[in-house]
Amino acid sequence: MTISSNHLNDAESDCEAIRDLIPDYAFGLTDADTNLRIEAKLAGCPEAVEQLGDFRAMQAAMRTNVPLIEPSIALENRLMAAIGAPIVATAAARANPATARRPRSTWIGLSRVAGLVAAIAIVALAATNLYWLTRVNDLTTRQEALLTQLGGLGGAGSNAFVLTGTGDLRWVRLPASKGDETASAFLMWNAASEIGLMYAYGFPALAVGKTYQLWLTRGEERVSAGVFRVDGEGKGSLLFHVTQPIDKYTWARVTAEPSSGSDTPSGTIIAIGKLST
Amino acid sequence: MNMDAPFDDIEAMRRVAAQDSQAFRAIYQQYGKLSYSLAYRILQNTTLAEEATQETFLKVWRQTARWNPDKGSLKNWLLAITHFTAIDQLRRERRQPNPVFESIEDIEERLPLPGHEAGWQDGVVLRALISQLPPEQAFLIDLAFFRGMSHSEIAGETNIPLGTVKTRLRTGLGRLRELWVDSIKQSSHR
Repeated sequence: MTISSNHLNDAESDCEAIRDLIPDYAFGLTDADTNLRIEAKLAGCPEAVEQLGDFRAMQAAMRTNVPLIEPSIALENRLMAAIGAPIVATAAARANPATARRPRSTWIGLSRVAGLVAAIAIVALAATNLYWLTRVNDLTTRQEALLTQLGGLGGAGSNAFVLTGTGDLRWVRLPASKGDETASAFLMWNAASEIGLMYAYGFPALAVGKTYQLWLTRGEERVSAGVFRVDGEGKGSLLFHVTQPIDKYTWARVTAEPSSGSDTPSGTIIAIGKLST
Repeated sequence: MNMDAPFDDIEAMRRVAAQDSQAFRAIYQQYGKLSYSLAYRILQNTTLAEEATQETFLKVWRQTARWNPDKGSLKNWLLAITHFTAIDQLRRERRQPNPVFESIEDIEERLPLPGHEAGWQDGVVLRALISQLPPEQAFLIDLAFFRGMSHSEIAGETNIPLGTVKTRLRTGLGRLRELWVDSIKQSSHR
């Protein structure tokens, strides 16, 4: 049996179209109809299969490489209870037997109501302690993960991933200060740190001797987060560090300043956005 | 279960299939922290992350037979379930339609092929590779993968035009794959 060149061309063209769709398909960005079309043709397109395999391996790697956080002891107990397994003594109960055992003799003679109230108070106290212990451990782990990442990575390009790789990521858009301009910027930061990343695009080219400067403001306070330049397409980025958590500031703005930067904003506001209410 | 020996996924899952709760506990103790950490990375909330982790492990308890060791490691299978469970939870919280995870049977199709599985070191390599992408591309990949957002949801959230979102994501993912393939070639030549 022979296959006509038209059929071969059709198959090649189909595979080329499938290959173009694979990145979106792998990341769940294609609709149901497109998925069906891809799945129907995929087996006949070895290169697309290989491409999809690469993306699946990359995704598995992304899932594995997250900052590690210790879950609470209560989670294991809840899980075992859900499958009907006996609960073993927890580390917290072993460390503090007083909260795990209820003294008997002292309660003799007290009314049942008083005993019930006391028992509830003990349970509430133990639960509160466990909750805060978990929260403290959680925050410590996250802080350590952030520091590790900051210490282990270099280069401006890595900064977005450093920030997005930790919890409590926040971001705002700083639109152009005038509605008809195309300049815009993104500000990303982590609630647990004083480090942020700003990415600007569509910024106009500046005259020689001028630069852009990012400011964080709160009331009358104006803090410079640093200066940056943009490329021929109006794109630029700035990793910055300020002395206070970024959440404490109310507004962020970008102004055009002399090339060495200014102590206080003096030039035209290019983009501005609110950080908090 | 002998805690000094290397963890035997197949033996543990065989025992879980026979409703051995101690084997189930051992699997949780082996992978629970990683599952919870991934759920937290997606949900950014301790309570929701615990719920997603619990739901993940209960799916494992109830549908042990769904795991096929010939199709992928237990760790990758568990983390894929965690991922889709957490994304669905995030979408429910945001009242967004279209759950991404309809059945545990879907998971197998989304795992790397046997022999192409990711280890811890691959995660480190991938992180370094992502750092080589322009920040605006890395950011959108993060939103798509760890927030489960569609093109239009990303465009709405970031105020970036839809066409630009599509282009940046496709360019970023294509470039990331090139870097990934190059890194594999380089490591195999060493």
